[in-house]
Amino acid sequence: MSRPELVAPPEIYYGDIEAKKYTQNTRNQQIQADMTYRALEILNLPPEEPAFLLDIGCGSGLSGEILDEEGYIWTGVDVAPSMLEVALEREVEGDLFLQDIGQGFGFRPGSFDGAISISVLQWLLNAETSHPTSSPPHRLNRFFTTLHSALRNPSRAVFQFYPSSDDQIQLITSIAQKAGFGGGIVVDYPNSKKAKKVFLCLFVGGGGSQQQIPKGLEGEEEEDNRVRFERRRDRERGKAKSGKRGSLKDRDWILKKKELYRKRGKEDVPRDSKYTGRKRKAVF
Amino acid sequence: MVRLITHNLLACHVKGCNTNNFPLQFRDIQIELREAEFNPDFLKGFMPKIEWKALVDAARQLGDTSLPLEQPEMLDDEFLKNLHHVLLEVKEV
Repeated sequence: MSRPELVAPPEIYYGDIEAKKYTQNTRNQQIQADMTYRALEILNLPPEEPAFLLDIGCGSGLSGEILDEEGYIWTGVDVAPSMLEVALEREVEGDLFLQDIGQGFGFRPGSFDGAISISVLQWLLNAETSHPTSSPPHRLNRFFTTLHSALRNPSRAVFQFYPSSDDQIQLITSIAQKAGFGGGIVVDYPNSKKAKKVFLCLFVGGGGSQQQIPKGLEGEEEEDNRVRFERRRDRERGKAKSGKRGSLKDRDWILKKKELYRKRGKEDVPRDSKYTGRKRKAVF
Repeated sequence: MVRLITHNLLACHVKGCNTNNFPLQFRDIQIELREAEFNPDFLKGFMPKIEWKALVDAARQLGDTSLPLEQPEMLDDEFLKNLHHVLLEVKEV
């Protein structure tokens, strides 16, 4: 698996070109949409009440679009100007902030009913300079403490991210706990290499009994997740096994061939008739 | 580009900046109106979170005087419509 967060910091990696590519890729769109829906499910907001959400690392607004559709009012922050540019072009409803989440938020306490973040946290795990304030623990700490205060009590924050090791999960959860959050990790499809998704589900307030960590989805992922062209291969394989290969030189093939010869100007090509390509009668 | 609803939630978070950090002042702004869907339930749920004085001041600065100075007890339709307009349809650019 390629890890863009190891290539360059987000605001540089998602430059103009990469931002466009990322947004137009239909596979990306699909994955983002699925994860947003799943995050909303984990967020477990009371139905009927339109909530005010924070989209952390909103990027080009792929997830924000779904929040719009679902009737939520939202505000997004992201560190990559090019991504936000694309979001503006796409005219999403939410307000957009150019902000480094590692430096914390400037929202008044209790502003949001919930927060979601799709595929973002892993970007916080690399130090860009050796200065102490750019170390991952320091940035995570700032991020979680300010986020904790910006959320309403009780509420939830759901982060989907791609940890590269268990140590990273450990680091993130311990810092989140220090910042006052409860909650933990939810893993969907833990046995699948491809469909596995890690969600960090954090609670603000509410005590232990009221809020429970939702269960991760288990079992086999749907067949849909397979590669698109595989069916053709299946069909071919099925044919080879069944032994019926279909006659190679059937009537269609002969007609095509004769047509070709005529076009090339070959002489003495027999006429097409009802006898063309017909089987001879068994003589004996 | 920020709607007034978000402006009402923003405070300065620079370290040591603890007094006089809210609301943020407008500077070099243009106003843009953009329609949004009217949603009374959301507004009712959001009322307790609003810092009323700051919102009214901000709206007046932008030349919108449809909101009363005091936060009203009764929420009638017209008031909600005005609130909706101010909160969600006025944007500073």
